[in-house]
Amino acid sequence: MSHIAVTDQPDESKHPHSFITKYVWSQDHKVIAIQYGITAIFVGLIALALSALMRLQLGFPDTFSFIDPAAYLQFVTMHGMIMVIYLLTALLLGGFGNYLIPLMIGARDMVFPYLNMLSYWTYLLSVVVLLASFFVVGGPTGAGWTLYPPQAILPGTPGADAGIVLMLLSLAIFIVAFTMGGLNYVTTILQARTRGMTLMRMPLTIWGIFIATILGLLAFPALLVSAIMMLLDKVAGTSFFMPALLSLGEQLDYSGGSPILFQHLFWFFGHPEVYIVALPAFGMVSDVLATHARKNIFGYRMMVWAIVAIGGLSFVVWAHHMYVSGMNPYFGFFFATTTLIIAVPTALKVYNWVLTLWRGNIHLTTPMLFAIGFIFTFVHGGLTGLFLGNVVVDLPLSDTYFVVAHFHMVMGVSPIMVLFAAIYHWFPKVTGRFLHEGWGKFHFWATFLGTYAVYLPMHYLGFLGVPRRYFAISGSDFIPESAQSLNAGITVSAIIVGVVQLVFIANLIWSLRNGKPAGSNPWQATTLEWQTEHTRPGHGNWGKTVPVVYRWAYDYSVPGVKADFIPQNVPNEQLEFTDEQLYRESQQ
Amino acid sequence: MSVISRLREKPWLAHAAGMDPALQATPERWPQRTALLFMLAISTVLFFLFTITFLGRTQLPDFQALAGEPWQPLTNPALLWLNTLWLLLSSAAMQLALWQSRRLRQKVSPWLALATLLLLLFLAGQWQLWQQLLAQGYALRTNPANSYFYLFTAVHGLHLLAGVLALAKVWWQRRTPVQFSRSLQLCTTYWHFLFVVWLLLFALLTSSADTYNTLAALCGF
Repeated sequence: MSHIAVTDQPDESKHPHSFITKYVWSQDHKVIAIQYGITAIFVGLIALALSALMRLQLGFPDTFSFIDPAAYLQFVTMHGMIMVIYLLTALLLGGFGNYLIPLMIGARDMVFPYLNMLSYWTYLLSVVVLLASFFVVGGPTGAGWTLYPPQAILPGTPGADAGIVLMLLSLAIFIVAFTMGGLNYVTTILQARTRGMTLMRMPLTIWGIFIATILGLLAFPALLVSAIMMLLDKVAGTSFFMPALLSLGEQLDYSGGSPILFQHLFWFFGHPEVYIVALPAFGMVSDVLATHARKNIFGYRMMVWAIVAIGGLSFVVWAHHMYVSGMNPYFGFFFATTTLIIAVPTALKVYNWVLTLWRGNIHLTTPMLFAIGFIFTFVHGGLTGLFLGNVVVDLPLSDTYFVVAHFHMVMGVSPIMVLFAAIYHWFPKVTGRFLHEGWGKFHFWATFLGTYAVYLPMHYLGFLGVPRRYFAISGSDFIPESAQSLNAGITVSAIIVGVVQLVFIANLIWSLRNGKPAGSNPWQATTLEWQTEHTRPGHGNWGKTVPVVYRWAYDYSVPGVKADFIPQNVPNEQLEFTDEQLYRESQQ
Repeated sequence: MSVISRLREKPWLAHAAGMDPALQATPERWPQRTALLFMLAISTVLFFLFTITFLGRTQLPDFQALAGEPWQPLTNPALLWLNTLWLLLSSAAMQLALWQSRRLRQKVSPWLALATLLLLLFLAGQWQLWQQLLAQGYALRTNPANSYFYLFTAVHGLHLLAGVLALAKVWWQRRTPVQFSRSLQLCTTYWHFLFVVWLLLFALLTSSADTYNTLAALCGF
């Protein structure tokens, strides 16, 4: 029980003093969060560069001699895998989860700080193993991020020797890291909340992270199982997934395995993964919207229930990724139904965000712009999801750019919008300084309009039947010449959006020293992380005593109260009422 | 308070001074127990998914069950029964150690040593079985049934070894008898869990092809 000391009382002797224990082998959740964040953003930039290379080939084929078909497939694969797992999952849960959970629920740290530290270093190891695959013979795997066997491990696919082995190892290590971190997040939320912080007083950010972590803990084992079994197929010659087949004119030793089995396993992880990314984003955007609209979140209970419902439903929709896999057609009927049902709680959340804005006192700060931008991109991606959820619509559109446009809008651009909103929103707490507003607004508009310039035309390309994952599409009769001009335009937009992200990185670095000082609660927010004794909260977060919670997280613009927000740790006795309210009370 | 009533709370309602129900009671905290419950859930999912893929795989034509016919190696799994006995005794020794520690007696460590020894005996027995199978020509790659047998027993064995490590840490870091006993309770739960998992795996891996067909039909394969 030695770990609980840090959640109960500050122990001066426990504070780390040397540089190494403070910033490198740190057990402080805030430092670990920043380590996670920096690592994730670093690999994210690599994945962004890979997407630029892909776009160069698609926009201007036959121009760049260093991009051959094999390299193109490797770029596609690594871009997808890095973005989904090593950037989004790690940044949302490892980064924001770590930073915000203890601060928002009024704890001094995670309940298992040592495990938390181990989680980060294991994650870093998985990143190193992943990046090592760029430097082995044959390069990284080019099997597509779904890694479908048999092609993923057979000659002919780039990286079918060392690349795929390193990829599977890296995934297994990542899952171990995530499980250690995830156990910490759920246990901390369930066991270390401060006095008065009931489950329904938690900010929606915490609800989103909580349910997403549970999804991750229960869904990542499916990826682990498939990674172990495919690794055995590759290295030990078993036939879990590998059917009997001829390769390069020779009969291979494999026999009888089922590639569809892999697909089921993969998507049993893969679909909850969408919500592992989306739910923390839903939560954080709710808090940003409420704070910057100075209004309580509309339908708080409904929002919580919707998060829980989406989490539950996300485990019974996976096979909508497999309509074209040749599975039993009755499955398609079942999974189309569940897929359309999950749209109900999701739509509820969208209505509630819009109703939160309605008649709010909207401050168009940079985080707010990104949060509102998210509503647009998410509705957009969600609606195309309703198209693709239906079997008959999916069959012709599957494997076209329509799908690329759909999932980039819904789980690429939308969570990234929230991540930006969150970084602009919480940066003042992390560093004590604002990010530059002017650069921030430029960053928002260029990113928002730019991503539309990239992905809107892709829907049209999909309708034309342009297939995804292809290195070059020239010489196809059914694709008009103009599709190539559209592709060139998309590439130009994509590269502009990519370059604008460097402005954001520059803003981060510049503002660390030169940003406007923010004070402890610059957005006048109610949640606990803004009520810490010091900004840049110290080790142990809360000074002498942990805060006590007297109210929910959304007391903005409460009628009759002077200030337009009441922090969660302010009791009713300390409220200052308006003269009008005092008069009214005296009349009663 | 049940989960449902917690989720039905209306957090926006104000409470009069001193009447806030959330501030009345401080629930007891035991984070290690919560973490263990989640770990057991994760392990359950892991074994469940392996089992489901196993049942799916049994329905493909090249699958040859390891038991059911007289010439198959696990039809009379005497060694597996012996191993099961070791694991059962190991679980029992853990339970006795826990009871001893609850009565704050000093005789805890011998029981823990015995539990660990029996567990290692189980693992040695499993290793011996692997060697027997290999000697009879049932290699990892020759048939998916063999692949699954090695996979299941390896994953289960790794879980057991992790349990030994956790127990060693608990023993090493014991401070007060009460704290020791609480930690032991978690270890014992983990031991029993892995024993139950083993019984299920045992039943699954030594079933005949007919049983697999029935189970797979129930699962819709």
